[in-house]
Amino acid sequence: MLLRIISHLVVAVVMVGTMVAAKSVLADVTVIYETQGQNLFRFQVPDDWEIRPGFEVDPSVLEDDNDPVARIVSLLPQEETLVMWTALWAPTGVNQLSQAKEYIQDVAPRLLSDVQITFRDDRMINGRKGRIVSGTGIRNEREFDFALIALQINDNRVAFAAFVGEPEAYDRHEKALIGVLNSIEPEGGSQ
Amino acid sequence: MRRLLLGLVALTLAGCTSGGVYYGGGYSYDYGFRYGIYDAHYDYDVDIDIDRPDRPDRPKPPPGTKPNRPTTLPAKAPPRRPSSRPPRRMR
Repeated sequence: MLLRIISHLVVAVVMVGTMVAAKSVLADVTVIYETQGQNLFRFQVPDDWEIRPGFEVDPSVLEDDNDPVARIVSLLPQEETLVMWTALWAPTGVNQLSQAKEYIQDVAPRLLSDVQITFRDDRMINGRKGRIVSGTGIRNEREFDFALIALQINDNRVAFAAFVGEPEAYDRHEKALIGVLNSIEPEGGSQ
Repeated sequence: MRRLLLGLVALTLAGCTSGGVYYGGGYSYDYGFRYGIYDAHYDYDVDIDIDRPDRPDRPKPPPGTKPNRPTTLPAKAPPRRPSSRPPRRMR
């Protein structure tokens, strides 16, 4: 079990190194989101943003759960000093957009306290059905804006994108954030 | 134990990918937000609270998380000081 975990750690660190190296020669980095042996979607990231690919745990090492946690890819502008966090992931168990409402209600209070939702909208995003929920909340006694976006990436999977951060950070990176969201395209299948 | 392990791995990775040093911007928040999503993942569709007795090995919640918090948003958000900023609309 320990060896498997270590091997996953090594793979994840190598992936980070590869992505960071790739950023120096590419204008925009294309990231393919892979989890549990499936390439689910791809998206574009500005070349001056750091990409953290997250990790996965082999389901066989989980003692009492066959529902492994999904990889969470987080994105951070390298030079940004304001607090902001952007992430994309495709959780197991959320297959249809109709399930996204409950999932967002579950996730939001775990990202921020005193969540106040100020905006909801169902809309097409890059040709796919999506749901946007945004508002404000508190973390470490600071008020942050947040946005959670659910996107039906194929018939049986919903991807999520999240932004949490200072309002000024959102304003500064709004164009890039929308660019990341609009660049999401489904991938075909197994690696 | 599984959750504690995941938390440790996330923390380790966060340290590895930033050279072992937390610095400005959202870097110092990366672990906390990831943990929040993992927390929701394991509790998804399960109505439990932090003190669930059949998970005695569950790690402590992130700082600021109140015990016995609801797993869904309340119908009406609790009052707090009004923000001076207008509501944001996604464009």
